[in-house]
Amino acid sequence: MTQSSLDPNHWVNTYGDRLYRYAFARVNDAELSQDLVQETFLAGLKNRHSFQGQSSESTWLIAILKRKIIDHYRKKSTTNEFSLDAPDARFTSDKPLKGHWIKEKAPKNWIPDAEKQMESNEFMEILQACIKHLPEKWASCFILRVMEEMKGEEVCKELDITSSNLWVMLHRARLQLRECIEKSWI
Amino acid sequence: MVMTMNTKGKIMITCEESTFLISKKQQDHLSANERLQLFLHLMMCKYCRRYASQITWITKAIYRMRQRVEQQSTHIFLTAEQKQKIQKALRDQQMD
Repeated sequence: MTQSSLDPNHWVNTYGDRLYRYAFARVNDAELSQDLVQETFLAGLKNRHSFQGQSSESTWLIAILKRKIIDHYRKKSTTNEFSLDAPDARFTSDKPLKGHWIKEKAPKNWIPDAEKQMESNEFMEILQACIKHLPEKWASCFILRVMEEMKGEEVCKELDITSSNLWVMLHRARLQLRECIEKSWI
Repeated sequence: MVMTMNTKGKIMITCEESTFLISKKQQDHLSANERLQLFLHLMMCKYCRRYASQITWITKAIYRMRQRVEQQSTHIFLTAEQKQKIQKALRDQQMD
């Protein structure tokens, strides 16, 4: 009964676009999103006997896709380690103001109606591009923790990092993201 | 030092430490001591005040972007050709 409620022949037409959008919102790459959707369906087919019927078909497929997305970022984040030991160049290293903003790098005053423009396609494109420019490991941390809203401990486990490393990487990612947006948009 | 951002036992913190706490606050609760440190720093530092509001704003924009792609993107879909390709991969596997 439960197994017959899965109907792989209709998956592509019924859930294809929805899964594709779900993936696209998280990886921002058309080809990769397509691959992830295909992998999800193939994994679903292979494991259809483990479907318990407790969740709907679509929820079950989304859960598989989510796992694929996490795997994607996990693989990506093993590639290059960005040193966190180097002091951040946005802050002065000279006493007595050590650790304070270097004036040219400090946040500028953004235009007052910036929030309204947040809806514009132009801004969304800049935001996507700036996320893409993050070092891969920082991007993986940032996307899983902030966009996927995974728990900190889960992200640490998936990416094999300590929680203090996660904090510092999220911090550095935000510094860079903010600066990138300011440079390209304001 | 940079790795842990340990600000224990201090009252005055630097901008680098303050931006770290601002980032942390997006996801986690700050300790009473950290809240006090951040509060005092933000009273004195307009750059970090800007940073705090811009970071909150960027976080909101990210959620909105994700929601938008998922829900109302009529221009984001699989083409008939892509669907056929996936359909074929599924059939091939079923036959194995």
